[in-house]
Amino acid sequence: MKIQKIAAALLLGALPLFSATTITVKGSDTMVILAQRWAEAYMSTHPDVTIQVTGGGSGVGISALINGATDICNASRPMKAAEREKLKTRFNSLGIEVKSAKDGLSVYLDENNPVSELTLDQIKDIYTGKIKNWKQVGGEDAKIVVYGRENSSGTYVYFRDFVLKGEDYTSSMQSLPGTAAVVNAVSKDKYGIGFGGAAYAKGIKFAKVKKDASSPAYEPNAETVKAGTYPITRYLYMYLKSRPTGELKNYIDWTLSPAGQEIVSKVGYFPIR
Amino acid sequence: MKYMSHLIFAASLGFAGLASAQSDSALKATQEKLTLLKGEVNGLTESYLETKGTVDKLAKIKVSGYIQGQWQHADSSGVGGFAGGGFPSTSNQRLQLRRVRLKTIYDNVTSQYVMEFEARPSGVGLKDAEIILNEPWLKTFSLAMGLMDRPFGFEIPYSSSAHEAPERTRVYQTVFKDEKDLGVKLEANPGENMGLAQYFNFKGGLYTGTSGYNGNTTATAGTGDEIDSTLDIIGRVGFKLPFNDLNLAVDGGVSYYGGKVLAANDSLYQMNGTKLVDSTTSPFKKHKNQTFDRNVIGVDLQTYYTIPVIGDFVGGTSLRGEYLTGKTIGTLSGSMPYGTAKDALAERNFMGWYLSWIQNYGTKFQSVVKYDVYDPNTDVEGKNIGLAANGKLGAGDVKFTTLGLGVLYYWDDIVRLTAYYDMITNETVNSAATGSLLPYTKDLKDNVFTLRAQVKF
Repeated sequence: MKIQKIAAALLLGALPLFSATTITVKGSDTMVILAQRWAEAYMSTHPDVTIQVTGGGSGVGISALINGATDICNASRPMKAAEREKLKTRFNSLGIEVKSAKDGLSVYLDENNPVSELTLDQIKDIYTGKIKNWKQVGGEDAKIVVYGRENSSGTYVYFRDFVLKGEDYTSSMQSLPGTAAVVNAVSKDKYGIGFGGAAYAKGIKFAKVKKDASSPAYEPNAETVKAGTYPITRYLYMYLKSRPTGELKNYIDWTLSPAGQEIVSKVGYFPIR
Repeated sequence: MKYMSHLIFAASLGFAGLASAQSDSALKATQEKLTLLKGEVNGLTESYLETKGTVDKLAKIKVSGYIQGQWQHADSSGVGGFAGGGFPSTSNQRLQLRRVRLKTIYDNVTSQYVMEFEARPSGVGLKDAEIILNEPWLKTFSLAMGLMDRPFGFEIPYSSSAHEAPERTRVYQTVFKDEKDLGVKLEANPGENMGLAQYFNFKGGLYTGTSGYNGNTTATAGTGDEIDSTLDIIGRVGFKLPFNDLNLAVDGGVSYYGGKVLAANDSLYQMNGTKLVDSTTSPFKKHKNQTFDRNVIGVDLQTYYTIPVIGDFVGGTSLRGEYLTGKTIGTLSGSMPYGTAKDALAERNFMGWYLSWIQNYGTKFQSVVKYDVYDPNTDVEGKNIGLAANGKLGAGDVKFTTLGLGVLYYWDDIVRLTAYYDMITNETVNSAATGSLLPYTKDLKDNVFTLRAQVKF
């Protein structure tokens, strides 16, 4: 009888191990608010699931995925071939890529800056250090103060690869930890310029971006991002080691459902469909 | 009353003045505090910038390493050396530190310094020492000089710490002993912005060759020191095809090795039909200080795939295979020209291949099944070996197959535990064989079980 009681107690004690599911999410700072909103909404309707969200940057998230330290990696850029090689070595898998939202990678200007439009080439030249004065792009005679992200950021990598065409950032760029810090710096600096996700638009204005000098200028919004007319449109990704099953699959499916995509819009990004 | 109102008015003025004075004083104090804080922030910023400079320099230094400790049990004492070196003749089990390595890289983007040491209880040796120049324009080409992996096939550049089976296959351990050589290598790895070229890669170079091992000089075996005026040409053209939407990757390549070996002895053994005979005798020729060709061609293929539906529990699957063939210049005892004495050279046509299946289960477990074949002399069969009429055919001509089964467990992100069993089968030689070939008339008792713990950072 005593043994039966002990066995029952052990069984009851062990039950939580099997009943509760914890999903860890790590990576992109651009996506951290979106991921938190998703997690809160999902946990409110699935009390048996715990979702832990942390940022750190896309590079940090991808490293965690390769090391097996996270279930989901959020990334604001596609995974690189070298990173996939590491996943192949450890997990014999290329990883599963889930496009979870769209973003118009935005160029931030101070609200008092008279410049309102920039071509892709002008943005590239500003960030590679070839253009140093606002006068060169139709603004005031003042030095451009360039703000950007740290190299662990997916936004940093995406911007370098697709806007700077792989060239290096100017050494005068001030690297800041997180998009919010970039927005904050630009909002206090009339001659500042920054870049980041479209969801962080407090106290700054978006530069309208032109594909080239003869193209129309577009601001990042639902219409231009969906239509692809805004020139710096990107996907926001979730990466997994292998095909999801169980609660992990349910959660991923839910983020792509109308309920999950509604949160994408509320946060300031754009649904994938 | 009038007096009273005057008094209140005067008092009000006094209080107002006092309040104003207090307000000015508070403002002044706040401003002073703000100035102080600004100074502190500026100081912290300066300190941060100084520290950042130092940290940025330190970030260029990358240190990695691993230790492999293992316990092995063989079917009998003194079995051969392809599962981590030969067993002592008096023991069939051992505790062993198989590899203890420390690698340092200083990455200056356009150039790199690479140095790797192997530390064992028996001593410390150099495993890798490279100067690498990366061109900054296309970011595609690099030039390396020093002691490095030979650019051949898949198994050589695949790190010993990443290999799922404890050791490389027998054909690689024989034909490309120690994997490394001293040379100059050009490598091309086109980036993701290079269109179709991104799916292809190339590496190739000139190397001092195996001649440093053949006892013709006082050069220490393993240093790769040059002793002759010929260089080996080694290269591989590869492809990597990622089918991301299918979660499938297909990689592969074709490799070539063209080298020469300097003879340290007048005798040269060559195949004549099914006989291995000294070609010096008739007509008489002296082969000492002449060089002889050593050629290898290889093809390799690797696939990576995650099985649909079964998902996270089963995980990724990888199938890998390689086929090598060519002509080796070895000694009578084997296909390796690495004797410590001035042994006579022996020329043989060889063939080897392997197929391995690695399967992940969740994030912690892996299984591996590996089958490999090495035939060091494709011109003869077992029945030809051991007959006196067939000249010097010996143990170095016997074909081996190995079936390996293993389970790997990832304790955490740095520790991996492996249990692996090698089932080794040799070709049986002619029953007339005597002496050192007598054991080969039956399958040798040389299966090996390995329990390994690896820590890697």
